Amino acid sequence: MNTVGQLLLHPHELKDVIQYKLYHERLHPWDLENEPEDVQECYKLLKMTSRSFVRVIEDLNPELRKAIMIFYLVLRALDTIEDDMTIPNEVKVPILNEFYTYLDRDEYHFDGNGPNEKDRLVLVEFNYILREYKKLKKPYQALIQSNCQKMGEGMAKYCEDKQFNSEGIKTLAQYDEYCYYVAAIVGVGLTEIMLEADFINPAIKEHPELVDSMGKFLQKTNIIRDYREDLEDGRVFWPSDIWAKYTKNNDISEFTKPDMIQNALYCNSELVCDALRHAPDCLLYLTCVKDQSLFDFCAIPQVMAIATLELIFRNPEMFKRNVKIRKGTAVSLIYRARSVRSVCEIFLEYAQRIHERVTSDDPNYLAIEIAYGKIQQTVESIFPSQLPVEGKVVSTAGMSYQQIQTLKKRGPNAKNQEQPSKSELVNLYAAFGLSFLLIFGSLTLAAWMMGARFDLVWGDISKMII
Amino acid sequence: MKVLIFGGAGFLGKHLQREFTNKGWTVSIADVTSGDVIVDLLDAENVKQAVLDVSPDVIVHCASPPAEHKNEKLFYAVNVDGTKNVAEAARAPSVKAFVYTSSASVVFNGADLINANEDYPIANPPFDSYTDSKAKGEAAALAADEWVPTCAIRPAGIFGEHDRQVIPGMLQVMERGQTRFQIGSNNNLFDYTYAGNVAYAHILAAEALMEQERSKLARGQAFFITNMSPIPFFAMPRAIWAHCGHTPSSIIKIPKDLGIIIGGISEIVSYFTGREPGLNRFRIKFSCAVRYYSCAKAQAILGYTPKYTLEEGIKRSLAWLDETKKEK
Repeated sequence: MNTVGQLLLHPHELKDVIQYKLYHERLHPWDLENEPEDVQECYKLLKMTSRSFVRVIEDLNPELRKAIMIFYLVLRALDTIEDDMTIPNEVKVPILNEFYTYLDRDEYHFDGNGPNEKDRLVLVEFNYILREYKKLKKPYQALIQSNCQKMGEGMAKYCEDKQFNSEGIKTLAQYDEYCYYVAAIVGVGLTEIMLEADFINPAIKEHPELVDSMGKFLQKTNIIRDYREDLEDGRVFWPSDIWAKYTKNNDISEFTKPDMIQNALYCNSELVCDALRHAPDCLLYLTCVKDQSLFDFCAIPQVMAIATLELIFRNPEMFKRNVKIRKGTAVSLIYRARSVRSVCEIFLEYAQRIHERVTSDDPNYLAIEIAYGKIQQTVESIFPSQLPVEGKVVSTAGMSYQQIQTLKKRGPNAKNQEQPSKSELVNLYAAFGLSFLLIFGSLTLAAWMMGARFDLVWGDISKMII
Repeated sequence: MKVLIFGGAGFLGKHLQREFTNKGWTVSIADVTSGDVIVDLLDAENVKQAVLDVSPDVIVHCASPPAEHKNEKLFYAVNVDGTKNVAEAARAPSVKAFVYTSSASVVFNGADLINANEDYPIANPPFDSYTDSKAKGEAAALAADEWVPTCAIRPAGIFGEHDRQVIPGMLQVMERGQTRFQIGSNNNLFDYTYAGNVAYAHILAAEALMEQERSKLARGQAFFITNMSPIPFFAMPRAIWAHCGHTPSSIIKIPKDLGIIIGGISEIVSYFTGREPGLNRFRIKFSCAVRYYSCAKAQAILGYTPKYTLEEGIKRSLAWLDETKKEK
């Protein structure tokens, strides 16, 4: 169904779509037309390769906007080489391994991509990217380069891996490793860049598993969703240790057969459950991001992923055709995902729907319920709905995040600090009294100097009293 | 290392036996009717002598009458006075650490417990005499920290082999054909904890108490212990029924308020018939309550993470039930 038809069926999403199309206000206003030609060309390339990313990148804090744009394009260039089946491995592997060194050159471009490669222009016109790269602050250059190296080497490894190329991904550990190389490294790089710019809590350095989960959650969701598309392209990314359990003849295309649908759905739920286990880490990661524009940048793909995961969970349609979340849903999510609290709410909402749909005949029933429980518990650890204070358990309903944090910090036994201590009270009254005397005194003095007859007033008052 | 386990012949005691033995400890069991030493917990001299005879490095005290017994006097006698006797006996020179098995229910006052931690106050007023006796027992045990490094383990919702309550109760529902009923939304999380993990936490606690540095953090403390996987209340029975090959054909959801009315009627009916009601208001509220805990403190200080998953716990428990049936 087309977008317009979908919107007519879901009118509550219409407002958001119109607002998004027409009245979108940038967090950090700027105008592309005032930028130099190289930058404009880079944005053209960006628009060409990824329509969904342009908006969030354009909205980024100016400190990191260019760095992240270049980082994205460099990785896109690598990906375009890796993805192109017309390039033989003898050419491809050295390029992937050395690509990061090309960033040190003054000039580089590559026109060896096949004519049908949709993003080939990124490599043909790589010089625009290279020139802008050189203008970035040195630390950002270094981080882009080191992560480009990791990514390129990872890709080269998979190109040369005979077992991977003939049998695909086998174990769950290999599946995790694959997702690390193709997706999590992007998150690692972004996190390092954000650390450099002080846009993320440095505590994140002690929790690399949170960073990993950000990319893995997205990648795994896409891999599950793209079953049909990948099958038609003759590719399989589902780990065979998992899917083979649910087939009869060890053939993943069995899942498209109507009589195998129950098995297909059990397999689907095992993979969704595995992806869902990354959700708590993603929420914790997002609590560390300090800058609003970077928060949006990180949070939007995550809420899309949880919504997609819910859509494909035990969805038989997924084995017949490509399924995607509605455009309207996507736009509504973009609008909602502006704070840790609302992202937590979105995650809970979708996770709850998964929990409500799973039935106990599913071999992954308990595992899914555990994953759902973990998400609830993680949200509770971020936004506790009750706290022990002064020997009582109090509900935090209606409290702001700040109020909850203050209560949390104060600890369970602290006296209510809203009541000032005695010495504070004495000081307060003294200050009040002093300023009163000062003002009263100066006003009286001013009145007297202007000729007020206090002697008469005093006489009147004494008469009244006597 | 030698451990003396009071109540070692009971449900949790058997798990403690196994876990300590697997870790290479020498285990002595002290219990009322069976074990290496027959002890009457209410006889202070008797308890003291048992400790002197065994001369253990560590004392674990997990003896407690089951909560279902509803024998108030026995609760207070064993859980409070008995614990005082064990605490006194822990003055014996050989003893380096004392671990008391408390209960997570000591902070339960009838209201929801949402990711509760050890900062939550002891329920006041207490929920019932059992939880009250466990809270007072815990206080009595922790008082021993003045003379021997002591801590308390507070497990939540224990199940496992040798348990005649949790899983057998759920299987009974299946045998009665009542699996389709669900009261409340079933979004409420609940902690079910495999007994093997609880036992394992006792070992970690004993080890922590005997290490110089960590002992400072662990001494005099209570720790919640769960499987660290809270799940919706009805997920546990359904998972167990599924293991037995049964899936409810459909689910009939009864709203909580309606459930309470039904529970009330059932109580009135049972009053006249004189039979124990299958449903009562307490059970309805229990199945709709949120009741789960944070293990962050045990993780940080004791280095605790569950050794057995829920799935493993369920499998082991069901296998044991099968075996006991065969023996009959």
